[in-house]
Amino acid sequence: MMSLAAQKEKKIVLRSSDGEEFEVEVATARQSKMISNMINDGCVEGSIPLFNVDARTLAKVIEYCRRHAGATRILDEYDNPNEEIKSWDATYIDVHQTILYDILQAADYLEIKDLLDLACEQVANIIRGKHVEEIRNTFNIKNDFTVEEEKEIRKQHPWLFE
Amino acid sequence: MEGEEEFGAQREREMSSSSSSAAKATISNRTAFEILSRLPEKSVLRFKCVCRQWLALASDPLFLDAHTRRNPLTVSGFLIHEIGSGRLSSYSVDGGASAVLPDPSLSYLDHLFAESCGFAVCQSCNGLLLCRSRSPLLSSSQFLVNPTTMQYRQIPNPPTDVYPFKYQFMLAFDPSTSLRYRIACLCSNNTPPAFDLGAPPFHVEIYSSETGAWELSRVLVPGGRITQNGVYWNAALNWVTENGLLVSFDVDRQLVRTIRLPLRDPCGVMLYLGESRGHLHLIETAANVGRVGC
Repeated sequence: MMSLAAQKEKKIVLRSSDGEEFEVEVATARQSKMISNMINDGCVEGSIPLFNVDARTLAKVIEYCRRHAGATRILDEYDNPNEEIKSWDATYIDVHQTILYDILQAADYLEIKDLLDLACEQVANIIRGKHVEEIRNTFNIKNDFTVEEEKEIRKQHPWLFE
Repeated sequence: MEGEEEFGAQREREMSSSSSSAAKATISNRTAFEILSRLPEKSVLRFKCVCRQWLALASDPLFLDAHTRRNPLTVSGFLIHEIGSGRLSSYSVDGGASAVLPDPSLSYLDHLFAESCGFAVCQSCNGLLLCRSRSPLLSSSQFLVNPTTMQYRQIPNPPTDVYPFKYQFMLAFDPSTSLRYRIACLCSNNTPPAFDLGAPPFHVEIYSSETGAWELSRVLVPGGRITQNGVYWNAALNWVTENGLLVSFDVDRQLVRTIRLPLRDPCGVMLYLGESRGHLHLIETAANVGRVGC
């Protein structure tokens, strides 16, 4: 059960897959649609276990959510994300690919749409010029085509593989 | 905040000891959708052979729709059609090393027109072409061609029983709003009204890629000779009649609007009617200088 003090400060605890606990403000946690739904349904007792997100990734995701929880109050006069946030996002997502892919998966799992958009944009920029084999390698995808099938698909647009 | 300090240092190292495998991701279908929809067309086509799931995704009309909305039309090059020789070539404007089109000469169409002295591109609209035999007979078959994918489809001839005279075919296609295309045919049951300023109005028959059939529109459009190919712009087909009217035919709502063009130089020759970056452009010569109206 949450302590009275914790309720007063509106904080909840997120537990990473490797057992580390992070205390965050409710507004920060609510950036995640998944957690927000849990709070609405009243299923938040003690800490929320996040089985698919390790501590390193969770710390990084919380950093984003905390910044954006505050940012909703400082949209510009036309309700667009302001330049400051945009430049903060650009710096935030400029990370090693290992961390980028972890963020991508966490944003998908936790349903943080803006973060998923940001990570997808960055991933798209990285992979746009890659070869098919590199893509399979990057995303751990098994080639499930037969040799003939793959040849047939390549034949449709041979100029794309030159 | 927790973990923030060590994070920067970790970034420099390889993460082989981490619980998730190094530099590899497992992504859901939703994430793959989001990433692929942010890639240029060429990358999407190439990544079709990554796996079955990506092939299905990149072929799904829902995905194609999302991709088109996210990637507004950009011009990567021109298809150049030499009027005299009929020779086709392409010219890249995006600075890319790869060709604009897999086969700019459209030689894969040659066999379709083997018996009718070759073909000509009679219309182009946002990446699609309408090709017809070079023989002057309007009754010869037309083909709708996508020069990027090298796919083509024969368009049935419009019915000839009611309005047998076909004056012009115009192509309407805007993938940012819909992936279907339409072809409008201006037709009449009168003989060609060339040079007749009081020409009777045209009827309009419309072919839709969704139904694969021609349908007669209930509206009439001003008659008179048309000097330039119609242009699809602002959700309407636009053309200029010889007596100085700009006719706009809204294909969806079947509405006709006419605008009288500014007083034209009687010696002027209309050189070009076209669309670029959301504006309709008309170029015609004056006695001494060319002028451009937008």
